[in-house]
This record gives sequence, C-alpha cells and structure tokens, in this order.
Amino acid sequence: MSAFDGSGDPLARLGSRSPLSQDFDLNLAPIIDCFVVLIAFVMISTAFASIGILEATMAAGGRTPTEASNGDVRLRVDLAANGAIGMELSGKETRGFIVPALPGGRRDDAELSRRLDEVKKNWPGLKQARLVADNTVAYKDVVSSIEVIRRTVPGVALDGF
Amino acid sequence: MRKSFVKKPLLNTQMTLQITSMADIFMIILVFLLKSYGSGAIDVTPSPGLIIPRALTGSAPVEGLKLEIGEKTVRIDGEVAIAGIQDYKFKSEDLSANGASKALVSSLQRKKQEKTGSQVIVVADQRAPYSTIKAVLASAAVTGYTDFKLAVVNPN
Repeated sequence: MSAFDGSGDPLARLGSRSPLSQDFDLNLAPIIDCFVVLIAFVMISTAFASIGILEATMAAGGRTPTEASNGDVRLRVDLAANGAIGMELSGKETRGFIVPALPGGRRDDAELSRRLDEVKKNWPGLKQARLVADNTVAYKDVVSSIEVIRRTVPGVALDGF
Repeated sequence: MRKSFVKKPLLNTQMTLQITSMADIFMIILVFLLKSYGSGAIDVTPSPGLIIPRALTGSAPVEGLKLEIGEKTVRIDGEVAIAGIQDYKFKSEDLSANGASKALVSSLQRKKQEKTGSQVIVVADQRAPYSTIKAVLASAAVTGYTDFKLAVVNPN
C-alpha cells in the first residue's frame, strides 16, 4: 500500500510540524541579532558624561540685567589669584571679610559657604551676588565658586568687564 | 552476558539553544540605554583635549549657540572661529576697548544672520583664564547673544 493512497493518519504522515499545528517555536535569532546591533550602536553613540547647565548672568548686558541690589544689601565676591576669596557687603550693611586660601593655594569653599550662610541669615532677601575674578583665575575655580554661591544665593552675575 | 546497571548517558548531539532569557536580557539593556540616551544631556561634543569643569546643576538642558573655548581655538557650533589664540589667551591687538574680541565678534555676527536666538552655551576648558571667558562673553553680548549658560559635567 502506498503512503499516498489516502489511508492512514495524514498528520502522522507529514510529521509533527503540520500547517495546522498550534505548537511552533518562535525564531528569536534575528531579534537577538537586531538587539546586538542596536545595543552596540547606542553604546557607541551615547555620551556617558552628563553635561549640565550652570546659569550665570552678566552684571551688565545680560538677558536679565542683574540688579546686584535687592534694596537692602549688595554682595560682591572676589576671587584672587592667590586663592583668597574676598567678600564685600554694601548698602544697609557695609562689611568686608576675606576667606584666606588653604595651604597650596586652594580656595576654601567650605569657609566661603559658611560665610555666605551667615550673610543670608542676616539678609534673607538677598537673591543676587556679583562674582569678580582676577584675570588669571582658572575657569574651573570660577565655576566652583558659582556652584558654592548658588547654594545660598540663587543668582550669580559675572562681573569685572 | 552480564547486564550493566550503570545508565549510559544519552549521546544526543542535537540540542536547542535557549535564547529566550538572552532576549530578555538584551531587551532590558536596550531599554536602559535608550532611556539614558534620551533623557541625557545637551548635544555637546567637546574637542579632543578639552576638559569641561565639574559642577552640580539643577537646570534642564537647553539648546543654543555653542561657544567652545579651547587652548588654541574658539569654535562656534563646532566650526573653528578663531585659530590664532595661544594658551587660551586672545592676542592683545584682537581685543577692543570693551574687552570683546574683534575676530570673534565678526564670526558671531555672521552666525547671527544664519541662526536666530540669544542663548549661548559656553563650553570652556577648565584651565582657561577668566580674562578669556570675559572676552568671549563680551563678544557674545556685543553681538546680541545675551542669555549665557555655562556647560559643566554633572558629577552624578
């Protein structure tokens, strides 16, 4: 008797993979290939260093011309080339003090922060500070000081133009 | 003949690789990468050798004209605008009375005609002196770019 004479089970004759079978395996190999290519592409093109934005205005000519005065006091922070930081209050309170440099000429950001907290405690309405730096002061120090000042006083205006 | 009770291992050479779990892992990695890719930063590609200072920021990334200050060049949106500076310093004859760089002002004026807006993102090397930063900011302000943002590397 021939296999094609109509006798016997047709599914058994064709094997388990008949077109009517509900049991099938999803072929994941092409999907895996796509994932590998996509992951490689994303990893190569991603910049893992997250670039952020530090807001700073110009004391003159900026988008929002900085009023260094809030009507009570004005605060000016000076970065000296030798690492010292000068602070000057003017207006209703006139006072100046110097934060000396740490050994090695490093700026004492902790002391600057403490002094700023003290000023802010006395003058809670203070919202702007002017930052002036010596021409030779590195941009890194300027950015670091802006970061410290902004923790206490929200607005920093670059000055000395 | 003695019958052995030790079961012989099956020598089946046909095996199926279980790749469902691998697909799951790849999916998780892909979602993570795409998320960090999308929520990330502004499109800043610093020139080789340029070190951006680190600082904690809370501001959302913005887009604007990118002014890159390197050791020997100043670039505007990736194109070299001034190539004659040395040790991050402009030549004294290039600086005008208001502190702006003449060459940079003319380059910025050309750029202003192509691209509107007043936002400038300053991408400067951390070793650049404040005098150079002032000159660049003054040049931008003269040209009408008055909204300054400083690009920093977020330590987090």
